[in-house]
Amino acid sequence: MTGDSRVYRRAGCIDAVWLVDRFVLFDDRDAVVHELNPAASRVWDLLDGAATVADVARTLSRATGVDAIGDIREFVDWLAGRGMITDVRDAGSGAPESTGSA
Amino acid sequence: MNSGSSRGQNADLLAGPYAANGQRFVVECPDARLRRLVASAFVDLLTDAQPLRPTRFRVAPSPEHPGRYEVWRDDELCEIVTSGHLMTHLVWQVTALVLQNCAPRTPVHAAVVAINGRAVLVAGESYAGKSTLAGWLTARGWEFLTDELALLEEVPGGWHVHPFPRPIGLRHPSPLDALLGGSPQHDSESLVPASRLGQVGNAARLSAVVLPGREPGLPRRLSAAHPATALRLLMSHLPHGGIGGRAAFRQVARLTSSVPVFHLGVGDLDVADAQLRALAGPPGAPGGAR
Repeated sequence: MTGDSRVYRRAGCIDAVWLVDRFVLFDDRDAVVHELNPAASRVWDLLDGAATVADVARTLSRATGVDAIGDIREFVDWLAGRGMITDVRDAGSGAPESTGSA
Repeated sequence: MNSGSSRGQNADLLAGPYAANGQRFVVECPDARLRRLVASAFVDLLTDAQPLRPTRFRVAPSPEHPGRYEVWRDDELCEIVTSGHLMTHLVWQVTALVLQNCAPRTPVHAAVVAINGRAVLVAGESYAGKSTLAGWLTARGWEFLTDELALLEEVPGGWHVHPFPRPIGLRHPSPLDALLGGSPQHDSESLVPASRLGQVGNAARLSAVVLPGREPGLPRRLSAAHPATALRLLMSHLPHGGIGGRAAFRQVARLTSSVPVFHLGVGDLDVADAQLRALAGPPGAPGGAR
């Protein structure tokens, strides 16, 4: 399986609130807060445990007219490296993510 | 108000009693010079009440590390520090005591000042100018609530901020140097009780969140800021995001989405003062900025 065919879902240790045009994430493990920009927020929202990284890139490309697969890969790797998203192949039956508005 | 010494056992060695958000503590210092330093720094936290079992901090020269001091909290050794970091560490220990016992109030990383019963919360990264701005405004007639740790309470129709008047941490040179007298060394830090500059305030209703900045070119007029940025800044720097974790995060998110948030360049502190007075509104105005 290539990187772009991987499927990720948001980790249960992350809480997320939507404020105006973006998500702010809270990591239960270290209490660090991350403010995503609007584009990163779209990616976060699409990492639902069903879409591949390539699917996410296609969806965003259709919406914006910009091919940002490189940026998306980099962001997904950043999230995965911090355990903020999990590869569904490795995830088992982990706790569902939390995403909501303030 | 007493003079800074507690009666009772080892009274000659104690500074206090003090109260911070309801947490009572004393500081035991065998060294008289150090005890005077503690009494001076914590003067705004002095209380008349004689607590039954206050938290007892003890500061004493380390027998094993010459030139360093041991900081104890009750019977637990917290840290061994140099004399230069001793007071900063002690203030941090008191802050930690408040953080560990602040529920149901929500702690956030911010300075707070109030005028006419309305509070303005100043949130920013370290070195953004929170403490300097809070000190300057206090010297200009605002009431000081805190320079570092705001204690929030959600009430019907809004938010209250409770005071935690720990000494203001200043890095020199500071615009406040002229107000304080003396000539502090460049690149040094000092702890200044707010009462040296003005008045310490009581709990006040929160009317706005301000994100200060000192970057050249940053507008010196208030401009609308993103509530997400305020949420990130308010949740930063406190251990484990303060007490309450996810619940606190959600609560602060509600705050930043319900209270107006502004950027403000604070390169000119008098201009910042005028901007913030306009934001808080005149005496008797309902609610300040909305």
